[in-house]
Amino acid sequence: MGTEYSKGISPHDMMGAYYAFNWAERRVRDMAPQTAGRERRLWAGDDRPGVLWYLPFPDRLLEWRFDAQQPGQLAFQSIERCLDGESPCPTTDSGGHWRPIMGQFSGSSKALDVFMYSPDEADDVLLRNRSHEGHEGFETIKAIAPNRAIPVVGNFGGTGTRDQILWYRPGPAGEQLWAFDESGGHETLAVDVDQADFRIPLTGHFRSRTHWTDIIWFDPRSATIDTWTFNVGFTVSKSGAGSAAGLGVVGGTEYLPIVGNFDGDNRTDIFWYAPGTSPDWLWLSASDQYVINFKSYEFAVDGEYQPIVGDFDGDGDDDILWYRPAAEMAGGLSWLWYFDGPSIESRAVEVVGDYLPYAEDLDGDGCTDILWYDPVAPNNPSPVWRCIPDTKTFSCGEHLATPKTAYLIGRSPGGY
Amino acid sequence: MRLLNSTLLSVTILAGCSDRRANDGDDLGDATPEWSGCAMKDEVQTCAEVCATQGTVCVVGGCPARPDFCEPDNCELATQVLAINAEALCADPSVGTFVVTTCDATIDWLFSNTVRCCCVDQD
Repeated sequence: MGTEYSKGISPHDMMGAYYAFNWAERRVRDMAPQTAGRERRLWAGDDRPGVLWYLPFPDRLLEWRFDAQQPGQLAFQSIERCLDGESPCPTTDSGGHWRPIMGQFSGSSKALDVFMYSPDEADDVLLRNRSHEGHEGFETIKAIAPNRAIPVVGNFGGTGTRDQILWYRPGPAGEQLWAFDESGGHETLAVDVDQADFRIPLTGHFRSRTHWTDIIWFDPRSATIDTWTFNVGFTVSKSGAGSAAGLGVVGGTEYLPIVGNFDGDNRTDIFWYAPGTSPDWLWLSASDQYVINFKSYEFAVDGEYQPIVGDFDGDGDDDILWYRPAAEMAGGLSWLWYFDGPSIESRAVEVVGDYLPYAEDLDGDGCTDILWYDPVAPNNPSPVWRCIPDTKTFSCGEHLATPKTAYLIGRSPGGY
Repeated sequence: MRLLNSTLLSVTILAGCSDRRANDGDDLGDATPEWSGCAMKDEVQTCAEVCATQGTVCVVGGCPARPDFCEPDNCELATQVLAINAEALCADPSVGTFVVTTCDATIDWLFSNTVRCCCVDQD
């Protein structure tokens, strides 16, 4: 890649491109249907919201644990959570191999687990979250995952509400699907992603959140999609590849598919954001138990933005913040889109500075707040915008002292 | 930013729901169209083919549909019904997504792998 002598890119290069250009905030609402309590990243084992930081070289997790409802100034407990057992933390990743994957893998609680995946030869581990049993450290369970795979997480079947991991390896078919049990062990099942070209897996509850997770495999080169629904025993019904052009999504255009519940009907929708001047498309799910289908609406988002999904007015459906970093440098505004079915109300906001925004309802009022994480600022005071329900406004005066050069689990501009 | 006019992507409607005619345009008379047996993707391209292979004639917009899942919106009679779950659709034609289109229209398999078509006996 990046050279005129290159005649193409290998599947591994494509995977790198996937990591580099994948979208943000697409996972939290589309894992297990009731994951960790009402679509939120909850780490405490109950309704208390939190933020889980991965500090890669100290090799530990730091949980910020807020009260379930917090109308006053934001305050939280800061809890060091070892990768294995209690403090002092014995397990480390000295080579810096791991990237954390979030999911309700062992199930049976409201606390999310973390799978520390190493795309290379190093060991992988499942960090089973037992905070609901009063343990602050994670239980480490070794699990050797396929190398150089893309983890596709969803509640694809089985009993109970639990996420599985499909280890997608672009290239020849022959994938593994890991189905975990309550103790954190897993069964390995064979699944074939029998598509020669690289595909981006879009997971969602397109039919409804009472059904298992579906996958739409999107080939960005040809703009074809292959739809999968799962049946009992993790068997798959596949539509086979078909062109998405009839719904507006065409080849030769770069899309960032943004997943959310934009019309509030509890079915996953897709906003196909095409950076630049190409048309963008909102696919609102028109699916039911046996059928996946969408109605497509054309939009025009002219420009380059980082999209962030959340319910920014507390009305029960998802909205999009089109974040344009560093308004003082690039001179651009950011935009808030409040959805009402296929219609939007748009409001401009200016964000001065370059941040890693993390959207979560930190104060438990049903309206998504934004932590603007600045990983390199002196003393790391990161601003917080607190959403004020039903007003389409934020309160912007607070700052929180954030860890330096940490990684927000469940939020990555580069993928899972 | 601006919101363009919303566009419902669907088939081109070439025939009304109420004018029941066979593929060759003949009036159907008293024969009652019914949903065909199942056909799978890669086996057929049009509903005319589906009905012909089953010894029947395709009918445009002649079989009952669920309006909420019928394109164009809220149609009550359809030509095709599609689904990704073959077992469910083959057992019950009311569980798919319905389309009113011509009998010779190429089936749009996006999201689906199984079709049933609206057909009538030739006799």
